[in-house]
Amino acid sequence: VLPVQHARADVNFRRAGLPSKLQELLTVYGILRSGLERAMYEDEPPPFLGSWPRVYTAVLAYLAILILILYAVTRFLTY
Amino acid sequence: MRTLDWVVLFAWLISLVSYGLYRGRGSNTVSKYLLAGKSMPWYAMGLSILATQASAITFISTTGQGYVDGMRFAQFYFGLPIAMVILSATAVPIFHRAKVYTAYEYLEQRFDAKTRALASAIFLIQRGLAAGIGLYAPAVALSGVLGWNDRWITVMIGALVVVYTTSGGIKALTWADVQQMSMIFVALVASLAIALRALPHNVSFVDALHLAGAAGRLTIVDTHFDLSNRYNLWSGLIGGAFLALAYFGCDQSQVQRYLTGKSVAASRLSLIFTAAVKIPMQLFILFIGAMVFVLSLFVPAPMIFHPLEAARAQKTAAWTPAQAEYQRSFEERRRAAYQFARNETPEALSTFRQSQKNFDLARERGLHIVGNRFDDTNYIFLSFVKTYLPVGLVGLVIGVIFSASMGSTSGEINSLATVSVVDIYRRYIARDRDDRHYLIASRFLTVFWGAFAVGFAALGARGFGALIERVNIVGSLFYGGLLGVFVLAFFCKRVDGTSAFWGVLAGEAAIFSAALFTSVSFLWYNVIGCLVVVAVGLLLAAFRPAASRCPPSIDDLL
Repeated sequence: VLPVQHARADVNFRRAGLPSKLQELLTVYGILRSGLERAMYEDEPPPFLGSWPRVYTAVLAYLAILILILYAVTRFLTY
Repeated sequence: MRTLDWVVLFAWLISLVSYGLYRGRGSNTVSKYLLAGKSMPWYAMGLSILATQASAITFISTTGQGYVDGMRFAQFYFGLPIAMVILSATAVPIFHRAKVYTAYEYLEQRFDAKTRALASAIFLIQRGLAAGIGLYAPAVALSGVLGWNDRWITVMIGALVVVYTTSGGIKALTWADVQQMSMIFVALVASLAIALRALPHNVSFVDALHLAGAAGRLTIVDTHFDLSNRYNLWSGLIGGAFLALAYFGCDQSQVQRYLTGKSVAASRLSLIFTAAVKIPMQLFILFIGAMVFVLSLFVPAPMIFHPLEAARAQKTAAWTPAQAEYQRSFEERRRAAYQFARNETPEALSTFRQSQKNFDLARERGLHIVGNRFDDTNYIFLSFVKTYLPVGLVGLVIGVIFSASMGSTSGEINSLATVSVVDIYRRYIARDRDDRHYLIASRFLTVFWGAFAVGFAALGARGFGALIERVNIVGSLFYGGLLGVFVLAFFCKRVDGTSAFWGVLAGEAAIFSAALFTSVSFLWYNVIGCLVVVAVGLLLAAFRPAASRCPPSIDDLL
């Protein structure tokens, strides 16, 4: 996550040319909304493994193991 | 079916519909009717997603595939967990944040109205056809078991589905699916246990595995890369991942399921749950088919599994010699199977395989009495159910097949109604009406799509071979284009609506060309379509002036 000052500078750069009052309103609205959205959508941890990337890694590892087992079954039982 | 089977069948259907209606009460706003008021827990969504796919086709056709072709069809699902991970990380938070009813509504936010309308139209055509095929499957089941006309059965099931879907909305469907999935697991375990118990006493479970393996029924993973081979590891991983991405990320019948979640985490968990359970579940169903095949090595199975067609064929002159040859080749194969089970020598293996080839030829000749392209794969499991399952359990399994079809069809017509109302009716025909108006429209369109599915099933879906393949082939003709436009929407910020629109049309043209003029397997259609959409979209966007691209959104400004 970028520090607030850094993020504001980036945001201000993109809004160049807008009236200053609108820039301020957008800044306040943006900080409130992004914080709220992050709380609602991004920062919900899974009930296990601590973070979503870990859950995704576990799913892909599970798939790899499953395919390996099925490959072994195929090799063992196919004549 | 005996009296107890009928009692169990109707008791199950009544309890399923009643439970769905009870849980779906209070769906009196559009949000509650179409998205369950975003209140569903993850396990209900996950089971509902599984149930939508575990249609009657899964029971009837997948077991038949396991019997005829072995378990290699499982590779088709290898890409699914990869797709689930990608969608959990991308589509789920995006759709939640966009606060949309349909996936296509998001396309207007991101691109423009014509791209949304095109994607909605593609969905309505594709899913409308698939709903008809899905509804036809249980009609096949009951016509085989009861000897009734499958058209009348289609109409009867369709009417039941429409009543239950129209009144309860998606909440009713989801909870009914949860109940249905529990019973599906019970029916599957019971079917496998009975197939194994019916094997001769001197044939062990290990012998059964070796016999299935010798006949090629346990070849699950095929590592050879071949574009024209329908099921191998690579088509499963790559093509299957693209198909699953399109199915779960762009098909409203699935997207709507996880949009009912009360949070992003709940929706993500429902997809992760599907990723974990789907492959083992398909393997289990295919394994039942493989074990029913082993059983048929020792106990005679009908030469033609479709009872009505078999009865017709018996009246022809060709029947008696064909049946005699079939019986002789069965005895030859049974001896070879016993010999191989006792002693797994190369000679015994060779004899068994040759006898299997002779048997297949004899059965093929029997099928030709009905017609050159006649395929009775979808009747194999039903024949097993009728012959081996005890009284009461037959009714339950038939009831589960019935309800599986009702669950998936109701989900499909609910999503078709949602897209028709949200993306077409509310967008183009009747804007700015009150909530009650759109609720009534949703119910009316649910009835309309139910009637369409029944009409297509009764008139157009006859004569299909393995139904599950047909559903996936129909889907693959359209999914690549849909997936491509969502990839552009999520990941290519410089692409505008017009470029995406023409990209989708180019992608669909590429898919239909591949289907009509090449022998490329249908699993690759999604890859081809998606890549063409993305390439054409990016190319057109590069040549279009910056001013013609989308105006900056509030998100761009923020």
